[in-house]
Amino acid sequence: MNANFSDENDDSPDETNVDALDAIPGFPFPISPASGLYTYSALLSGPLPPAPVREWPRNPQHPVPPDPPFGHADAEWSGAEWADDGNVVGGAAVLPLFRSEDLRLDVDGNFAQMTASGTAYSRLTARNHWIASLTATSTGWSGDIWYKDNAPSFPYTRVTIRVVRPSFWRRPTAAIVRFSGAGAPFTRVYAWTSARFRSVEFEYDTTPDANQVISVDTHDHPNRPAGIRDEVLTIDTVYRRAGFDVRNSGGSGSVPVSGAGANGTWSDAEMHDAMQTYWSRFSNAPKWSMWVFSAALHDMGESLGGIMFDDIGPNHRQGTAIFTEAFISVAPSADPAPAAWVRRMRFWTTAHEMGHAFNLAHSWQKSLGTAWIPLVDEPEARSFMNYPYAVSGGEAAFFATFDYRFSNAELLFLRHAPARFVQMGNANWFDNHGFESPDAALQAAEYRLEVRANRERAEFEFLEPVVLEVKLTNEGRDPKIVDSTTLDSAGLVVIIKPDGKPARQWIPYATACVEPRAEVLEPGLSSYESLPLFAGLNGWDVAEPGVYDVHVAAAVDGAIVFSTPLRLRIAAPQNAEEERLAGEFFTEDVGRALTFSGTVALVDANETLRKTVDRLPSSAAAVHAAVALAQPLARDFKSLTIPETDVPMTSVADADGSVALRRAKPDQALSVMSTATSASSVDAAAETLGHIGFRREVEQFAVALSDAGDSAGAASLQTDLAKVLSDRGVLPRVVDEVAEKAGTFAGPKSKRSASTKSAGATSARGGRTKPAGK
Amino acid sequence: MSILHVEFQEGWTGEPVALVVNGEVRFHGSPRTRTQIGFAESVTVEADEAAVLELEGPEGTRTELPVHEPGEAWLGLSREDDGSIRVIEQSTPFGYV
Repeated sequence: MNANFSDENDDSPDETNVDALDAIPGFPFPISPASGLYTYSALLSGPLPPAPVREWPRNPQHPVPPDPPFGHADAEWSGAEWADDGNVVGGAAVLPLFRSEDLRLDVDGNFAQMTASGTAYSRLTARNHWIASLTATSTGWSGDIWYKDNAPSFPYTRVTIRVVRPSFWRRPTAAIVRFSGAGAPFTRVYAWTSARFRSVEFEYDTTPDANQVISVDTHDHPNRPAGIRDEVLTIDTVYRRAGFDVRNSGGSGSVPVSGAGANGTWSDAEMHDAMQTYWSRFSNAPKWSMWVFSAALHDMGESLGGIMFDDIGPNHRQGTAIFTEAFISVAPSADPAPAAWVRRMRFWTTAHEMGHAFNLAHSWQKSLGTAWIPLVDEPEARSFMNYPYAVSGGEAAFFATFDYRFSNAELLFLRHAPARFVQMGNANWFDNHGFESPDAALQAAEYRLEVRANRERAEFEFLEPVVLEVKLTNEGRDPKIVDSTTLDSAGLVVIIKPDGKPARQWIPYATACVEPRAEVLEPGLSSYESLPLFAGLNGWDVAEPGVYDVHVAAAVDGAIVFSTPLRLRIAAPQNAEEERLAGEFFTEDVGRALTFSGTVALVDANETLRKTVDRLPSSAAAVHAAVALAQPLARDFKSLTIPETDVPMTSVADADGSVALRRAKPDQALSVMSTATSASSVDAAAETLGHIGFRREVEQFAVALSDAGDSAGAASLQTDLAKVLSDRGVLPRVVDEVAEKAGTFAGPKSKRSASTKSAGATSARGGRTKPAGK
Repeated sequence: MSILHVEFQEGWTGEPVALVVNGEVRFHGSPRTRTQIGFAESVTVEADEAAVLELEGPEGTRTELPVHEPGEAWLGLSREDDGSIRVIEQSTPFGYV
């Protein structure tokens, strides 16, 4: 029997111990393959073999624990190690948020490539990717690593792998990988996760006038390989055998021919529109999901049998089409079984076009363009990616030896290449930055994460610091316990993708080390946090005029939740003054001053902020600038002073350094704010600061007034704040919280006029409270 | 008269080309291959059976295109890495997927 064509008709192949697809025929029992996906994750840890805990080896050469294999210096890592006697020993892992690793072991089962590959993710970003060719050993497999992403942080050159399983006819429970060859040897234990290497979902839609074919009987046509198994083969099975855990997205259905326009044939643009309308999974984002569209004919006519049409827009390769009435519907005149020929050709074309959506080139094009590794053309390959009629002997010769498979080089790519090269919609998106889900199973379905702007359209003025809001909603039926820091900037992964440019990860200037607190999120309710996206350690990520997509991911309840992307626009400069100021404004010092609500030390930044208020008084940037200038005045402010000296300094105390306290000057602060907000409405201030930021700033100002003895002024500010938030449609419970706080500012009568207080209310910054938002 | 379907297939990256029949330019274009179908552009010309068919490249170089099929024929032109033109001639239409 041919082990490469094991049985399969299983839509949920991972639910049983050994499914029919994966079993390797053996006697007296079928052998369960070791191949599949293994994972190591703090978020999803499967059952591991029992292992005694021991301390790190007392090796004088390595007095401290060796670096983890993937260069995460920030990780507290303690993994398993092989003892001298060969037994597995290990320790408990303490991992940073989002840390996980994949291992794809490909040594048996369908079309085994004798290859292992691994990916390490940190904060959802693929940090390292390695691939090794393997040979069998007495205990498992070993081989050299020949491909590395991010090589400097991954020194190893060789892997030795063995699997742990209860018996040969039971699935493995774990794979133990020893990395060696450079640096201190290191061993990692990965838990069995899936018989497939990657997950993908397909949706098959068709027009009524098309003849969709997504299954074929392999013995229907007499011209076939002599030993090929007689079976009804589905497209899903083809891709399962290629290593994917295939699911159908459930929306498969009919697309009216009217979408093709008056001529009844389809252009690429019409199909792209149809994809957006009829594909239940459409979104402009990379994901392991594909739309497979069957129609009668393309505008090109009968000469086009199919096309991966989705090379429009920012996320390519999400949709592919088959034209069932094109030349693929016409069998050669002398063919002995023309109906079977046509059916097989339609099936072959479907698998072929889907292969393009996985980024596979034609067999004769392998050496063209920028291949992921150097590739050679395969003009005679019996692969779904070759033209049957282009090989020596033509299509009759092709199908006589075609095993309904991809070539080994193609399988290597599909199973082991970095996901960003293969995943639908990824294309250019991840060229310089990965944002890959470690495992589809990590997606948390019961939460929804949104990123949004507190305005009708996500359009921002030039120079306006972009402040967004993240919102996490419990979409389940039961109350959830969530970490109070879930939406903090430090816990999020935020990717900013300008149109036509590489994506960048937003890195906040500071991360707070806060002890998490459990919070209850009731069904249907949401938690909110402000996202001051404008600047960070990468600079001003959202500053230049243009269109940006913002993606956010958060770790929630032991899983990962991704937002749908928010598309925002930065307007072009409206006048020469904005252009002149841009060079001074988009600096690190100004970014920090705005982020931290003001500075005393960064005098150049303060000068730029003053210019912004003076020269662009009606701009959104002026509101932010005024807040940053006023906040240090509104509160007591400590600054460290160290006298100039030529003597090498050993400590601040030895250098006669001192901390000076400058008392709050609420009157000056209000004056700054009054000037800045005279040309701007309260509503505009709330809009540009964001509801959470606006509330935070105003409440801090109210506290400052109260501390300065102006309790009535503080109460008035707080009351004004409640009204503004209410007028903007913020949740009633949040407005109530704000209003109630006004009552806590009891004390002497205000020393200020009502008009002055209103001016302060429009723009002062305040304290943070969650949940809050609209 | 023959009907010739000239189809620009692999290797075209947008350089201007011209199709010349008996010294007369019949087509100007800048074909660009869509690699997912291995096809860029097609043009149909009529010519007598003794006609000389040439492809003029961006630097004025001309490559003669052999035509052997009488009547209707399809010519597939692919541009190789060294700039040379590979020609496939057949009596039936090309199919692309």
